[in-house]
Amino acid sequence: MRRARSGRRSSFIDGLISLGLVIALLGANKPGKTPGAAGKSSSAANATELASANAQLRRQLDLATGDTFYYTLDPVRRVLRFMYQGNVLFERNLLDVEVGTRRGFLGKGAAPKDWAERVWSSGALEPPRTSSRLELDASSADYKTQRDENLVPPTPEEAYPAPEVWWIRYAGGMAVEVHGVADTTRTRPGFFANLSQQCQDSLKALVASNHDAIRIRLYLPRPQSDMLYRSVPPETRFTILPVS
Amino acid sequence: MSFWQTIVTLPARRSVRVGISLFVIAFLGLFWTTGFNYQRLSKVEAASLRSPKGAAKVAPAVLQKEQRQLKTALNKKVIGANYIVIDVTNNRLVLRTRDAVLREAKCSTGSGIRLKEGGGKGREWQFDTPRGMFHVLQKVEDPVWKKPDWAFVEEQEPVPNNPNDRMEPDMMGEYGLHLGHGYLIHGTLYERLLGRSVTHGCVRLGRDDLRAVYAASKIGTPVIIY
Repeated sequence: MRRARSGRRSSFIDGLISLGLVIALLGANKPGKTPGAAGKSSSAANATELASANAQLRRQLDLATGDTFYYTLDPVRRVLRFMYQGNVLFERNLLDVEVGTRRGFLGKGAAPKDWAERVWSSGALEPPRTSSRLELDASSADYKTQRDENLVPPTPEEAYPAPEVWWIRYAGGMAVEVHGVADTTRTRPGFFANLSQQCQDSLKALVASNHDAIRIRLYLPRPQSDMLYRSVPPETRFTILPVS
Repeated sequence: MSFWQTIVTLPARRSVRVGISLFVIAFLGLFWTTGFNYQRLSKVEAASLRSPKGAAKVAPAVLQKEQRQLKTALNKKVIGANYIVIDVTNNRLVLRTRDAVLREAKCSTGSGIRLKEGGGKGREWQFDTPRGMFHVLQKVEDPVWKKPDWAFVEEQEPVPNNPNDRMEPDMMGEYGLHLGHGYLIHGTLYERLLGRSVTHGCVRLGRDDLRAVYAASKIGTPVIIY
């Protein structure tokens, strides 16, 4: 009787142990540990991520190899860097970064799908900084008067007053729009301010000679925006760093 | 009668109402088809980042190897030590490393003036500071200015034949950093003009800033001018 009971008990314990083993084995064979459908998908996702990062690195290398000055925009950290051959010349912390995609009529004038992955090139400042080069002829009668009048030239701020809003327009309808704001505690505009801004944008888009397809809007404190305006060299390039 | 009641009752004729309605519809249509939709860039960019074609077909190990190579190539471009950055429009000089700004200074750069010699000689000079990548080629203490021809033409003086007549000490401050092609970073007697474009192409610095930049530079220090 006792033996029969102990036999039943041991078979019960054996059952429990084997159940535990099965569970343990199942646990060990969870998807992803061995090549399966899910394993394949995670490997594909990894490959996609790597390929995307490599594409971005190739773009950065292409920019660093060239002989043009360029900007990189880190949208997550809100940092704009001005660079040359892979080296930072300066960086600016932005108050805000927005992107405007053109609504267009039936898709007309819409931005290229890969705008965020491209290197934007042939950047031209608008309004341009105009400077008239002073020419002096040492043999002319009024040479000394002319020379002495220009002994103390204007400061950069006087020579190149910067507008509150300005653009760097790149080839293919892509543009960077810079807003210099006095209020550095800028928050998102309210409903009516936003509506008013949209109306103004629409009206400006109607009469504009440049029809941007995509527009990156950067908000900077006014003094920094002004200084940035004065520093933009001709033919810059621009790229957006990936979100990582 | 309220404002809205006035608006509703004013166009008594049906054709006027239809006209106004069409105008409003046209305005709204124009509004919605010409403007921009704005949103935070981080959201849009994350959504728009698509994988390059055929990415999933390449083994991750191959991509990782490629990534290492790309990062190495990119790092080789980065200057590891101090370098000097000069903004010729704002007349600002920055001494920095890859990650930090060590010193910021007002400087003076090229005036942009074009000087013609006239008198049938046809020589002319343009006083611009060149842009691009340069390197410190030579460091000099108490530099002596060897006046070029334009310095005499500018003063309407005859160009001397004796080289010793060209030497002008004490004009360039305590130190000079040669960048090549006759361009230097040096000091000035006219510190009140720092921040303005007054030079013949060289970069002038105030005394204290020049001392700091000279001490932090060595032969080969990169100088990037934009």
